[in-house]
Amino acid sequence: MAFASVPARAGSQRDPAILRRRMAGFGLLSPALLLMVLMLALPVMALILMSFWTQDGFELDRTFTLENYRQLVATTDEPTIWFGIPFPFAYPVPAILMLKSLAMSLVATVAVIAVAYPMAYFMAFRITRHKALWIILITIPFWTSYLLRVFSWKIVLGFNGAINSGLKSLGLIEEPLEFLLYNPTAVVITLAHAWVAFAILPIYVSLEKIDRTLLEAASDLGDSRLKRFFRITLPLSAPGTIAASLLVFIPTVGDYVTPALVGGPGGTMIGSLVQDLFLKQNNAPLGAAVSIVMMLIIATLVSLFLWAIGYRKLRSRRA
Amino acid sequence: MLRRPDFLWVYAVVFIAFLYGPVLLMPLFSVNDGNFATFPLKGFTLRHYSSMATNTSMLLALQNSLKIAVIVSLLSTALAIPAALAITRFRLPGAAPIVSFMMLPLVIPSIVMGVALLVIILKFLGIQLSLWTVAAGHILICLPYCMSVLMSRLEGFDPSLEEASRDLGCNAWQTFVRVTLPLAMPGVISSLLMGFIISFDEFVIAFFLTGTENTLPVYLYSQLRFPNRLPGTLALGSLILIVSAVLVVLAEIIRKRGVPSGNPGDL
Amino acid sequence: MTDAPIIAMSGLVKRFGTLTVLHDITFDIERGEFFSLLGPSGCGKTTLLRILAGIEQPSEGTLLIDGQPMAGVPANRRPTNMVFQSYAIFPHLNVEENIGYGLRNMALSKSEAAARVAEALTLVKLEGLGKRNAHQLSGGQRQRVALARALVCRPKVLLLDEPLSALDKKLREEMQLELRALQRTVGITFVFVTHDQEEALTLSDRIAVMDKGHVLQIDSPRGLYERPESRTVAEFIGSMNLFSGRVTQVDPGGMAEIDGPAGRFRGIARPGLAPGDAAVAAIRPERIRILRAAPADGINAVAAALQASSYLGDRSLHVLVGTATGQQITVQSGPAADDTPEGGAAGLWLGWGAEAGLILPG
Ligand SMILES: Nc1ncnc2c1ncn2[C@@H]1O[C@H](COP(=O)(O)OP(=O)(O)OP(=O)(O)O)[C@@H](O)[C@H]1O
Ligand SMILES: [Mg+2]
Repeated sequence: MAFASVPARAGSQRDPAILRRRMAGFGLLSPALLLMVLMLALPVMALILMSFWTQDGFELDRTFTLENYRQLVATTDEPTIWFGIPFPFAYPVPAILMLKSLAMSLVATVAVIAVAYPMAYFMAFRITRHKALWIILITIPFWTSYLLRVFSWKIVLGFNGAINSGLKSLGLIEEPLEFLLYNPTAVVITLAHAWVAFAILPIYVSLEKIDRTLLEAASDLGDSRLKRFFRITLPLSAPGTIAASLLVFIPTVGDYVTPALVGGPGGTMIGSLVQDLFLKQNNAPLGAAVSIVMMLIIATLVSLFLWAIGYRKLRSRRA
Repeated sequence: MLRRPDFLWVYAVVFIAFLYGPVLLMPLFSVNDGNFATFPLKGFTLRHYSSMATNTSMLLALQNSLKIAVIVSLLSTALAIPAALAITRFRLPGAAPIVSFMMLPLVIPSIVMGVALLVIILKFLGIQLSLWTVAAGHILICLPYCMSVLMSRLEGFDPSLEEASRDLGCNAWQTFVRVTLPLAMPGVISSLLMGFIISFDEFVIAFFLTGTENTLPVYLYSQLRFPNRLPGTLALGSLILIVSAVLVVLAEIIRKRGVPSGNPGDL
Repeated sequence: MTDAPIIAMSGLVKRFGTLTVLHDITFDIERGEFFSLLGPSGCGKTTLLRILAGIEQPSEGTLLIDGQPMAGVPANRRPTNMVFQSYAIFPHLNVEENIGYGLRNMALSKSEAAARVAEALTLVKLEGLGKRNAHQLSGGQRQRVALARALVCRPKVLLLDEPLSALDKKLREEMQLELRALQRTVGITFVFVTHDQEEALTLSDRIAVMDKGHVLQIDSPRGLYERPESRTVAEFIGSMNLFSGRVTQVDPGGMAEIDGPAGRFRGIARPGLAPGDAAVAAIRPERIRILRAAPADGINAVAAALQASSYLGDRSLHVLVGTATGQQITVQSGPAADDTPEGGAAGLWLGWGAEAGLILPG
């Protein structure tokens, strides 16, 4: 028994007490994990499988084929021009919508971070009293209906909306401004507004964690406040800021509620196409293929982004 | 130190106005005596609210949503408690990738989860869409939230409290009931409330997975297209907003109570 | 170079809300000094250092550094640099980048900066560790990085906030020697905060003893040890036996006598004492001799019984109990055995010369 009190590294793998404890741990974890596998992993696999089938009218053809993917990348000699960019595809809608969604999400994400960062900074560094109150104030919109938050912009920007009627009753305009609603800008504004509360918390946490003496040390070593911000605060809050931007970017690429409510015909996004293919055009296999391609593109872009950031950090370490 | 109103203070106030302004127009116009959401305001009325009482399809949708939200909140919390315990209290090999996997619904666009569930339910399992399929989908998206609330709560208090209980002769179950659960109770309650709010407000997955019956957000969405039903929609939206806001504040206050948590991530 | 003090403080007061943390701090620090601020925890040492650094602003009073008034001059434009208690090593930068941090704010060419970083690395004996990340360093190494990072900017004053307190005893003693040697090499004024009196005595040219926001006494280590001006300082620096009483006589020659429950005592008096004042006689353990019989004049004589002795090689420590008052008295004797009481432990006498003791206001 003399050895029992010495935790031997090699022996611990086979120690029956530790094994039993691990079994118990996995036992507790298993219901939730099993549910996630059944409801997330399996459905995604089903979706992948579905994308290799085809829809023929009302019939689902279950023979394995790459037809859907071929349709997405089939080229033509007469490229569709969209904003000066040639799309050499026979069926260019998915590609155009994909690019457009990425661009709109990117703009919305940049806007969200630009708006959220000062607020998070304010909460971390300026608020000394009632911190919990401010956090709740930021949290409430995040938890209340996304649908309603998006809809509220329709009330603000609409033809008969708050801005138009307000300006009109003030006598500033004669006719309602039609350019406010139903365009990509309205979608980006709405997306940014709907997601901004989501981005503040991770940034706030990473700012809050910064040791205040590091800032004092930077000042002591000659940094002005601005310089100190760029040399210490910003790099140290980068993890939270990156997390926040991904948490906003990824889900917004696939959003379709916002384009449906405030986007109009010009503001549609890739999510709108997926919804359309599944529920209106009754072409689930093609819809599945579009969803899969969308996920792959997002995953690739995010990996590239993370790699580039890690890479840049590494390079600045070496320099 | 004197708190000077500086740029950041001005910014914070403008930001809060931006965050709340558009949403607050809804309750504002819902008590306006007019049929459009337009300025100038005409006068105060509650008729849009009183007319909701006779709107049977809306009441039915409300009933459905409440049923689903209660079931989802109970089930996802019940699943999340043992899972959060396993992650925070048992040093499991591979816990980090498992947690990342379980947090995936936070970043996957809801539409992808919606269509994936739709495909497996309709084309592979051949089950009819119903409120039950909506509830199943909602558990999937609530689970990561419930787990993170509970995990940060459990990480926040000292595990030696539990060791002390074991040392004083309690078995694992007694320790859980007499020490862990009471200490984690604020987290449990806020997990229940969050599960409820998320499910109650969720639209995208419900839209894909519901059969002939509506949930409240799905019903609301169907009404948004009809301008002449705007006042009723505004009243309904306002009620949903107020109820959600109250529940959120409740959840946050409860979560902050009890044993203070030393976890900086525990907001 | 002029002879004017590098730091001149006059009437510095610091308040946090209603709490006054520093009261009327007025003193100078000379050029090239190793100056220590010594005092118990919470007495305001860090606060004073932060005021010198410009991180904190005084509520009242003026501060001159190198003859320049510092009011309104922010930390980044002061000729001071600080070694923080927690070291404050930037976690996202490696050792070289940490050390070179302040140089980027100076008009230096790249090669000049690199040369200075290399020089600083050598100075603190960290050659070859330049590319290490902050989290790969031991406590002692972090301390050296913090030191190098501040020194490389060639400040006029280096401020050190308990830089050795996080190190273990052996490393701390090593670093004390290095720090002292370093200060001689670079010739910069060091202002060093510590609550460890031994450390302060070892390192400093002069020490300011602080308590509850007041500076009690500023003197050389020897001065503080041999001529403490108050009971608090006497107790704080080294160990001291105190016997209370009332002043009975004050001589024009600077000597005074007190009478108290433990006996009559005579010693060098603090100026300002008058007959009738409450006072204490203070005597260091090593100045007391253990006697077999009562001294003839009955002054500076305490009847005592031996309670315990401990032999420490180079010296012995004896704890005795005064017969009249029951108070504990510590006596230190040299290695020679003849001092050590033998035979009976009771019926001993303690005595010392009048020049060895002090009479302090109490
Ligand atoms: N920002 C602040 N707000 C309020 N009180 C403060 C602040 N900073 C310091 N104090 C108070 O001022 C007093 C002196 O603090 P200071 O840090 O200067 O002590 P110190 O002598 O350095 O102590 P230690 O040896 O423990 O580091 C303490 O009572 C402390 O509580
Ligand atoms: Mg201190």
